[in-house]
This record gives sequence, structure tokens and C-alpha cells, in this order.
Amino acid sequence: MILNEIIKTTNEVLVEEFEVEESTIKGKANFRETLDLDSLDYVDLVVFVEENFGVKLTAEDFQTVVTFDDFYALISNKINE
Amino acid sequence: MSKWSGRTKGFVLGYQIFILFIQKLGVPAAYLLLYFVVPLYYIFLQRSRKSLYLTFKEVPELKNSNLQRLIFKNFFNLGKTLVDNFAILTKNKSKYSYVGKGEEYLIDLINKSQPAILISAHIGSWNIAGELLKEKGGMINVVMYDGEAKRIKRLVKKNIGESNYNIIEIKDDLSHLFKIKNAIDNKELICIHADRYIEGANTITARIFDKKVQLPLGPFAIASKLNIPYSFVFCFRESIYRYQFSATKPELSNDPQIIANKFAEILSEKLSNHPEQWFNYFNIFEKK
Repeated sequence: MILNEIIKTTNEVLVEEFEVEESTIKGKANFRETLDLDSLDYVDLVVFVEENFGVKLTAEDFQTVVTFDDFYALISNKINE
Repeated sequence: MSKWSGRTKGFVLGYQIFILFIQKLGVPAAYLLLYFVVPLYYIFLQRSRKSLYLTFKEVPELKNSNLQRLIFKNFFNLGKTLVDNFAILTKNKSKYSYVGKGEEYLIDLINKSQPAILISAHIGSWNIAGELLKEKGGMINVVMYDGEAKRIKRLVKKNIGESNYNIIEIKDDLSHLFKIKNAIDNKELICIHADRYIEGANTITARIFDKKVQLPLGPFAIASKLNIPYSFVFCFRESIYRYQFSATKPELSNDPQIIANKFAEILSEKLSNHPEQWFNYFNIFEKK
């Protein structure tokens, strides 16, 4: 799967699930702050990634995620593993 | 009700003395030891006493009860239950039995390898329920706070051996959420207490005896977000070596509020019927 597809699918789900404006989702924007994530939201993220991309995320994976670009890269790397 | 640090009261040395009594002299001897220990706890644990008093005051069925006597009885029952929790992990296990209501629902979940969330509370004894379920072949994961989990794990491992269930520790790094998800993917059962939360945790409002209470959002949100069945499970001490187990029919809901409301309803009933086994020493009616 190419990165553009990952970004498109991810953003569509994030806009719907986290009720944010699509314009606020930018590659360099802070992932956690923009989506106003609380601990339970990570369950949604894990389920969404698993259902849409067929890969599992762990707690350690999220430690490297600061921006949206990091999140897209994480999914992409997991798919290509 | 919050202000809970995630640690359970009790001294390691105290536990070890009880474990020694259980292993060398048997369960009744350990109960006898409680006659010396419980009055001291009753005198010195003023905060716990006050919390119980404030909780019991809101229970309509206890309107005409002697609350101080009930609180003493409650402390004593906690002691007996803790003794049983350790005793069931030792050679005394065969002496324990239970009457079950709704047990078939859980056996069905286990037989079908259907993951589920078993929602319970600090009332009666989850450890006994976990042990009884393990007998049926189910893998049980109990979610508990970090400090509490480490202490119990250490004590049980040091004195008895491996514990009868897997403990998932609630940690700041959120690793517990991923462990819960993994356990569900492995078609295991997850038990979470939903009557107590630590400061800063997300909560959900429900009603007990027509009064608003805050319950931890986590257990209800996980059941709804992961779309897996939930059942309310309780296990009460009836007499020496005898427990009463109950589980509700597993249901599905994508709304945490619906699950929380149902839980609050059943919790009200359990609190009314078994105040002497209500071991949540934080006033559940206290405003957040």
C-alpha cells in the first residue's frame, strides 16, 4: 500500500472518529494534541489500524509518534514489515 | 469516592503471618487470628470506617441498622475473605465449594472461546470467582492497578507459587490497554473492577439509589469499543469454605452509558444485600 493511500484512509477515519476538521490534520501537526487523545482513544486507534490495514500496534509503537507524519510512517512500516 | 492511590492497605509481614497460619495450622486458625487483628484495624483505619459509614448511610435498606456494628462485621469479613483468597491457592483448595447462578453463561463463553469482559466490584471476592472459573478451563486476566498488582504478585509467588490468573497492571504508559486488546484477540476473559478509580481517570456518571455516582469509564468503554460481550460477575462468601457465585447473561452494547447504568443497578442491589462484604473503602457517593 502506498503512503498516499494510508494518509487518505487514516485522515478519513480520524475526521469521523475524533470529530476534527480535516484542515487541522497536517503532517507536522502534533498528533495527540490535535486529536485531543485520551487513554481510551488509543483503543479506537488500534482497532481502526487493525481493521483497515491488518496490522497490530503496540504501546511501544506509539512512543515514537509525535506528529501525524510519524503515525502514517508507523502504519507504513508495520505493513512493510 | 476517588483519592485512591491504587494501593491496597495491609502490611507485607501481616500477610506473611496469615499465609504461615493457613499453611501450617489451617483456615480456621487463620480466622481465629483475625480476632486480634481486626479490632486494631477497626480502631486505626478511621478513614475507611468513615467512608463505609457515608456509603452505608445512603443505602435505604440499612436505614434502621446499627452501622458501626455492620462496619466491624465488614472488617471481619474482609479478613476472612483475604484468608480464603490465599487458602484457595494452597492444599486447602479442595475444601472450597460454591453455589452458582449464571455460571453456565461463562462456561458457554469459555467453550466457544468467546472473549468477554467480566465487570465486577470490590464486593465479595473476585479471586475466588477467578479460581472457580479457571477450573472450567478459561484463561482469566485480572486488570488492576500497578502498585496493588506488584505487591500481590510478589506475595503470592514468594509464599505459594504462581497465581491462578494473569494480572494486567494498569500503567501510565497505557500498555495495559494493548494487553487487554491482545488478551481479547487470544479469546480470553478479562475481569475489571468498575467501582473505583484513581484521581485523573476518565469517569462516567450513573445512579445508585437515585444518587449520582462516578464510575471509571474504562471498563464500560472497552466493552463497547471492542464490541465484545460483557457480564457482571460477583462472588460472595456464604460460610466457611462456601461461596455464592453469580454472573449475568452476556450482552453486547456499543454505548458505555447503557452498560454503566445496568452495572449501577446491579451494584445497588448487591450493596443492599451484602453490605458486610462491600470492600470498597472509598465513599462511592462522594462528588468528584
